[in-house]
Amino acid sequence: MAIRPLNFKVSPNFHTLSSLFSSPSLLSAQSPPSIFLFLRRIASSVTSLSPSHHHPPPPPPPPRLRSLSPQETLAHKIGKSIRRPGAPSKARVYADVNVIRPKDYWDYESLTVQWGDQDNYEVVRKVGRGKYSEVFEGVHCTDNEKRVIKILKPVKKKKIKREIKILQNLCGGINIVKLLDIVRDQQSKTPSLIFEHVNNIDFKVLYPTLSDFDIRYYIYELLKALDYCHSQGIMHRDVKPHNVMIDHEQRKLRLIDWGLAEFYHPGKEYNVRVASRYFKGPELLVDLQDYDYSLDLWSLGCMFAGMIFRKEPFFYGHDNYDQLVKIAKVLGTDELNTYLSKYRLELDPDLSTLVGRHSRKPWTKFINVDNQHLAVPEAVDFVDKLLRYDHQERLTAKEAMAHPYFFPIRNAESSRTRNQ
Amino acid sequence: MEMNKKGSHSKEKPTVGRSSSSSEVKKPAEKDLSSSTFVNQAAICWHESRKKWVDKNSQQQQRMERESMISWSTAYEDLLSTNEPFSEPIPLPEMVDFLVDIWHDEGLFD
Repeated sequence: MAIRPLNFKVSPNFHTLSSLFSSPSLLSAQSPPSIFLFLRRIASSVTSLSPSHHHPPPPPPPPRLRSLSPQETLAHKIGKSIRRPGAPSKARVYADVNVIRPKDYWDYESLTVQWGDQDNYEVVRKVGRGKYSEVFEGVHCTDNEKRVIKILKPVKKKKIKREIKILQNLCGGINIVKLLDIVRDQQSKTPSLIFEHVNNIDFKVLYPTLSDFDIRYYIYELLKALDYCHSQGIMHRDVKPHNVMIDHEQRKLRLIDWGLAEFYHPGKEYNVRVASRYFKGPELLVDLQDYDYSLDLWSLGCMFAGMIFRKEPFFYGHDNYDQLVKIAKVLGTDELNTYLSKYRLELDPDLSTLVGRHSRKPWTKFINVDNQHLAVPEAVDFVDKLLRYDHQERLTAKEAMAHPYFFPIRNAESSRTRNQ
Repeated sequence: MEMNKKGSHSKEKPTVGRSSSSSEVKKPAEKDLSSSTFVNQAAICWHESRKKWVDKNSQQQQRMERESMISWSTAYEDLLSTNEPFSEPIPLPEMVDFLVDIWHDEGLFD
């Protein structure tokens, strides 16, 4: 029997502030629900009354406001999954890009950064806040061109180098945000990344207004960016609406925030603490570390399902364990077990208990009067081919672009080129 | 050049022979060839366009000494709780100073 999920709701509005250009951001914080973050934020605003260094230490975080639910107590005991040897995983496509390219291409740790001068920039307004950065709309003082300026919080040099190296390697790639300059504060060594400006509309405002054709168009544009970065040996690892900037007037899309992106090396075991909770693939939730580009296709699938079913987020987990529960309630537990045994994975018994037993839910159950114009049969077939437990079974970005759902887009594109 | 190339090839041969049993290295000859010819066009293009950009703007006028925009008593929430534009643009170095102070308080530099 399944244990009933938690009943408190996290206010979706709360997340909008942290959205733009942010990395896994606040919403991926492990367990404290939003009320805790909210109180902590009040507390931190109290401590930062003046920017001087002579403050008393910040007050301890407020006590939890309620006792732990049975599920949370259980979640505390959950251990890691066991992976038995003999069933390694490898990307179906672009597996050897970094094997073939010289070390200099992917060895980001040996990157030497030439820092520019930060005096030439001004900030005009804040656009986002994340775990790793504060993001502003800015201008360059001499040409008055708009920019997006991402001021990085203190993190390991290695992480900064990785982001810069990846942005350089992807320079000129279709629908990839352009890094224009890298500057640093002499004293504190705080780096700021200067990007092209995109006149983005918040996805919570934009998505509900998009037509069936618009969704096909933007998902196709996003797939172009994903296929490009994958073909260059790079996985994004944080695909979500907050990281997809859309200038609807110009019908321009940019995939942003490459702070969690990584080079793919076949056989390498990666950190599973990537992506934002609602967009985390099953591989991350069951601790399969030799994952690959196909992680991005799951995240895209979650985003797409949210758009066509008008249900944001589509898998609404309250923590990383509950996230797997929410997925299992849609994709079924027999299918989960097939996936686990293929890769010789064994969940911690407590996690198995938490997941319970669920039958697969047909996609048609999500169709209603509000979304039936979007959740057309090709769309449902497409989402079904992305949201697969087994990462090797998911469509690759290239295969996804060939799906019949995008026929209208490809027809429009080819008639446009014919008429030019 | 030629000599060097030959030398490195013959040096590599035994390694290739040994690892050919593993499925990882399928086409060692091809791998060798492409790694010596791969040119990171993207990175070259990035460095070029940034250089152009920096050169173009290097003759900029000397910055006027301005009063600082952010008062010493401004808190994070005073300035950054909304996405509304600031009353006046704030120089990036000043915003960085402001944030660094806050991050110090939050213990991010510890």
